[in-house]
Amino acid sequence: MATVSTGLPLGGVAVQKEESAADQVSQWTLMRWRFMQNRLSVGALVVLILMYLTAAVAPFLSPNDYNELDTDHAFAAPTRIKLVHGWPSVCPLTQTLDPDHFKWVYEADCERAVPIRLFVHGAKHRLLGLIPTDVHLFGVVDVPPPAEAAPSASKTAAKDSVASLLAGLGGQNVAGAASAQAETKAEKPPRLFFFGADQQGRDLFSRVLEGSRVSLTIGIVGVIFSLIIGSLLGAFSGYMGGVVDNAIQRTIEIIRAVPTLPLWAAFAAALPRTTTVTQRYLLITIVLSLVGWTGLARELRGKVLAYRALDYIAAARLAGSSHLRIVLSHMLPNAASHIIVIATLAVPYSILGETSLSFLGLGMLPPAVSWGVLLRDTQQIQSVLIHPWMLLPAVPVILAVACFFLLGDGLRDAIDPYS
Amino acid sequence: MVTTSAVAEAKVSANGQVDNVIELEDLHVHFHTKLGVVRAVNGVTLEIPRGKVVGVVGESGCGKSQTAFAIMQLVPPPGRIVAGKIVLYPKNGPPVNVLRYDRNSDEMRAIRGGHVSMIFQEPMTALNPVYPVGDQIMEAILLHQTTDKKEAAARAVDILGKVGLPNPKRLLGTYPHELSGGMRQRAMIALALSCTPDLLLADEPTTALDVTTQAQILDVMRELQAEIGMSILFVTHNLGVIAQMADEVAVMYLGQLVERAPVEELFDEPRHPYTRALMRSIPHLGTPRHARLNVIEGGLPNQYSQVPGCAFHPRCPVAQPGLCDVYQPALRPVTPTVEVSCFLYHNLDGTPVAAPTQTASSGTGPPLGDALPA
Amino acid sequence: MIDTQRTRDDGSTDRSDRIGARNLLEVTGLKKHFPIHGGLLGRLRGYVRAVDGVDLFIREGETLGLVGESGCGKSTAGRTIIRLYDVTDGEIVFHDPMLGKIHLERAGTAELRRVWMSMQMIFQDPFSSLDPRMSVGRIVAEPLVVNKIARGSELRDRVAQVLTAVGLRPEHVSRYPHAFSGGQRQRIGIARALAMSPKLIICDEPVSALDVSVQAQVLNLLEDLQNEFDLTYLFIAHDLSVVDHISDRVAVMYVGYVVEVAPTEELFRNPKMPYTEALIGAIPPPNPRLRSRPVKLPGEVPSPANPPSGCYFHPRCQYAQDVCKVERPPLRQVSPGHYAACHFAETLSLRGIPTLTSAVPAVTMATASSVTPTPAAPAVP
Repeated sequence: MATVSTGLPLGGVAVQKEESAADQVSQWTLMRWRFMQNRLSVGALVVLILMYLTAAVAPFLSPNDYNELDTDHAFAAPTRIKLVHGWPSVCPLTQTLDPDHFKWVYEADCERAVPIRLFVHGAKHRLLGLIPTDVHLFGVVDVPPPAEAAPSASKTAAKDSVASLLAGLGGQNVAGAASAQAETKAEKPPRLFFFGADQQGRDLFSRVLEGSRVSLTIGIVGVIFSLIIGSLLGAFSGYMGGVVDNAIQRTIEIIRAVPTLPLWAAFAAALPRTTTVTQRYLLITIVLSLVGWTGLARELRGKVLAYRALDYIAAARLAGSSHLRIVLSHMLPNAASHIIVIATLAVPYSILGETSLSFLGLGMLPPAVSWGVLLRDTQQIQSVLIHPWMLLPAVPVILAVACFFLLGDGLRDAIDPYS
Repeated sequence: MVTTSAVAEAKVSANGQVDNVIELEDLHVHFHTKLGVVRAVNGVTLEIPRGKVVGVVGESGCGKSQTAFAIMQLVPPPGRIVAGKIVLYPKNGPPVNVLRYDRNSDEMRAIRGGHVSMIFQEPMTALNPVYPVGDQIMEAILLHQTTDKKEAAARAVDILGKVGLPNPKRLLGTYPHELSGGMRQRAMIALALSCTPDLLLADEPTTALDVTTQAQILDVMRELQAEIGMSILFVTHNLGVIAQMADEVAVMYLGQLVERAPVEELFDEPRHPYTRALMRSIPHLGTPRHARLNVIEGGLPNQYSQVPGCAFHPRCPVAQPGLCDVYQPALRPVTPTVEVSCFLYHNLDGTPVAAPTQTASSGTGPPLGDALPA
Repeated sequence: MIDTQRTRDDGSTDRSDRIGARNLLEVTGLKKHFPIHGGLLGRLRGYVRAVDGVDLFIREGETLGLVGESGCGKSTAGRTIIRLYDVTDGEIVFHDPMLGKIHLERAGTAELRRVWMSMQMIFQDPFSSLDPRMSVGRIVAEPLVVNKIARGSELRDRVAQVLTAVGLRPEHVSRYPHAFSGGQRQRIGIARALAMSPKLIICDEPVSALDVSVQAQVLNLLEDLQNEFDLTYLFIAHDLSVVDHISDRVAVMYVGYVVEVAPTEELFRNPKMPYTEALIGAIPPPNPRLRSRPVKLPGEVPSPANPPSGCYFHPRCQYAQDVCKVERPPLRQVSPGHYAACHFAETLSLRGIPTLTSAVPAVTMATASSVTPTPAAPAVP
């Protein structure tokens, strides 16, 4: 920068020779800049990333095995957490039957609160589906044994409980072994139910985490299937025009004319019931995408129709490009940003679709766990009134759907700021 | 801005003997974007004499349209008028300091349409597609001139006939989309002139039209200008149109005026190197066929950067190193009627260059005729 | 380039020696009608006769200008000739340097792909004619890659070569179109057309979207390339001044057909069709002293979906007679090389450039050849 003063009215002006940043960056970068300005969308993206990370390591984050039955804790309310010496601890529950209302009543005994520990051993699982381990991020290991418990075990356990709460795995192993030995004599460790327990005493929090793996991925996988069908059919419909276009468009209209939920239900009802969880998962995604591709195909057709009139497509033809090449290397890359937006906005519908199907008993079936499957338990209003925590699986559904919509809107604004 | 009242402030400048309809003084319009500041209008001082047509020529991005928008306070966001003064002298009534009013104020609305109207390249920017043309014109008349509906309708028919639209009575109920491009342009002009403004801002009104339609529209505009006696600020990049329409011409480059002259003098003897280069680079009927056209070397600098010194010096064939790339020339008179901002005509201290430009052939510098590629 | 050709007294370049005697392209009775569908069931309502009987030929090495107002079908004609559109009727004969005489109107896809190696197109809009997601290198290389002409280092060399030819730097291959200005983008489009070393380039309003000062650069480039690579141009434009500058011969179109063809000089000085006269007369001369227009053209261009009877120009023509309302005059030779579609081409005395724009002292400044001696540059303070 050099400023030169002159005697002229307008004076000198600052030198600025650098080329503008906008000339050097790609369109994707410009889009990213615009996206980053939208705080709400960025926030939604962060939340979604956290949710998917959580789903990826769900068993590690779950304090309990999601399928572990525990009749002693049927419909246990969310566990009360008490701070003991500044550290969160779990109050053990004692179960009694209320004879008047014929329901289980739980009483917390916070005198015997057990601290929540980090990196504890529990049910075996595979971290990220690869590494076999039995370590969980947090959990409750043991109760301080009553005084008459086996001394050797109690010593080890006591030593352990006063030891550092971030104890190494070695010490914990001993504790685990000790508790296994003491199982018959000592009380079971108090259970940690952040979200309460269901009818069979299964930990709802762990089940929500486990369910997120199905519910969050089924949305994406379903949309990917829709994308493949929708973008190819949409692109060719728009590009070829004529009979092909007519046939595809009429098909789309027929599919769209039928209300979505019954259509899903019809497809799902046709699925065989004797399938493995994985097969069922794939079949459900196909059901979702059989309905979901239409919106995508429509939007893409519109885009392609617009592109078809552009001169660079004419130039590509004059270059000798085949129709397939024009669609694949000119039209789809240009539509990519739009496809991403459309897909992002389609994911929440897919998630809701799976949830609805499972809720109706047509989607994922127990023992598989998804948010929809969990919400099935709320079909009895009485049960919800008495055990309102059973509705908690709806929270991540709402959160995920809202975040996807916010993200999609932000992306749309970023790629197309003028429309 | 000074804190005196709008009217009082304006009167001071009204004391000049020239009868101007509007005076712009050191107008700056900036666009603040994420990538930097675009100085679309960068210190424009311009007066428009009453009843005259002032043409503003320049290439796209030179700020000619934004100057017109600034007068209406219609600079689109993120653009802002950051400095300057605009004083309007209506035929009836006291002078108005336009920029003292908020862009959404009632006063500003009264100025737009009442005293100053605008026509655009694309008529559909001014015409509302869901109302008949006649209704829109009548509404404008009812808003600014009369409250009698019958009179307004009569005036609307009158003005539609004047712009050369056939069967104006029937047109009152015609929607804009039923008209052809040329007809819409006429309808927009009718709408703009319905309140007999003091000043018409014409932003490339014929650029999108075919030559034969353009000729018709120019005829209409010229006739109506003479009849109404309004002033026109005619923004265009077409030198032929300028030659046909303007009484005076202002040449703009990168947000600044580089030359102002009566139209005949400008075409007889363009003085600023940019004006010369621009005129020579355009082929027109009768120029030698297949001969190389003169080009202005280089391209426009990045819109976010500020060129030091004279904005044109990087592309100027006669730029003087050490002078043009350091100091910014101001617009100064070369003859009583012509103003140029170039160090070929005046020195750094503002005095005219030793050799008077009309007669001279001093040997101290390279003759301009040689320096420009012939 | 220019030195190799004689320069005439008026500053024009004599190009008679570079134009061959052979025709490169012959178009006869070319028609392109677009169907109009309407109503609830999309029934056929009629046709837009965008191109309705175009006759023209282009000699090897020359530039044929094709002018007309918007909607006259000049762009559609260009796109139909290169077969971006199917032909409704008529003949397009292209004398391909490799394939010989080819009837384009019935050429199949494979044949067209081979023809397009010697027949290319430059587009009007420098923005929509370049794929924004492709780098400059890939854009220019596309025809070479698709036709398997070059690959690897050979491909890179060829791309660098054409980029240099159009005045761009070979380093620009990795940049994307949005980093370039309108003029530079137009150069990229020209480079893409040049990549296959074509014979004929259809220039569809190549400078209309450019700023005036950039227009001159691109026009100069097109002339340089024509000389260097021995190109033939069909130059489509609405700007008569540009067409006048660059063309050897000019064809004027009105509502779908050619109404007049003549060597440029002849056409502008001595038009034989009243529409040409009106078109020339409508150009605002860059001369403030010349403000009265002797020829005024009333009315508007009719719709090609519903053209008038007889000569399409008759409702606007001041010389129209009864026969003009009934019979559409064919394009016929009026004098050697001068064709006009007017019943009275021989008898009318129409005004061209000399009467319309002559005696123009002011134009001298803008005329490259006759720059007035300008005042000397003053001393530097």
